[in-house]
Amino acid sequence: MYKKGVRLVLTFFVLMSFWLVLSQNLQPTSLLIGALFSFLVALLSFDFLIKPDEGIRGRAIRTIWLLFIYVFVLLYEMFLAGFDVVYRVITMDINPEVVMIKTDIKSDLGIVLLANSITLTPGTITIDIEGDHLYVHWLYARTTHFGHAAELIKGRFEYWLRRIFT
Amino acid sequence: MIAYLFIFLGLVFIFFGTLGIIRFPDIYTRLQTSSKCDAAGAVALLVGLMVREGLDSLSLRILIILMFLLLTNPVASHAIARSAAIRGIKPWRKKKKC
Repeated sequence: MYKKGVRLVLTFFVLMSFWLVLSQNLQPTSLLIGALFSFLVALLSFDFLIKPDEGIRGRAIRTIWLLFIYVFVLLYEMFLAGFDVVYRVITMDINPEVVMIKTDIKSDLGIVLLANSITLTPGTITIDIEGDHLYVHWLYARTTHFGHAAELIKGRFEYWLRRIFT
Repeated sequence: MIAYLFIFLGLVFIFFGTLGIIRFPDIYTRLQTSSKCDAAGAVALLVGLMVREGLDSLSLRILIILMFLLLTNPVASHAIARSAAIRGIKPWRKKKKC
């Protein structure tokens, strides 16, 4: 559990580095304005960026590292998805179905990331979420079986996300 | 060279994504091509620009744009698909031989 001041300072540093990257300017005036507004925004919004009950276990660095790897896994899958969809566009060989799959991930952020990843990968879009059930529209449905479809769609994303959010 | 390869790949993805929007039968399948191919194409374009620019402050800014794109693109297509499902639009299905 982080104290209020620690969360405030962390939010301030995130906002300030964002300002430095975007403004590309080391003049004192620019730095002063950036610090002032970063502090004001941090004061208003530190409660949303870092929740009070997050980061208890003190392994933020591991989480960030795993997320970094996850982005590369995601990019690789995205390019495969792009080629797959291009092939489908050329041949018009489609067989759309809506399937329902179930996930084991409990945390809200994890489910959101899983749904977004499913939307970015080969021919699948998450339509709706109810609890831990996801309704997925599949461009080329190889199967409509509950468990098998889930295995094909979630694949390795759930493996990585379970490592990140447990 | 690698940079131009990436940029060309992005253009190809975006071209076929747009072609798919014209060819496919209903809203969900059109959404598939528009979300997927445009995301992959835009990412390829931005990565190409980053490689061309080298390790620079500009490519850092491009990286931030890329992150925002990866976060917002699926959310937008998800919102469109969900609103279509709530309005009760049935997905197009292949005609079965009987």
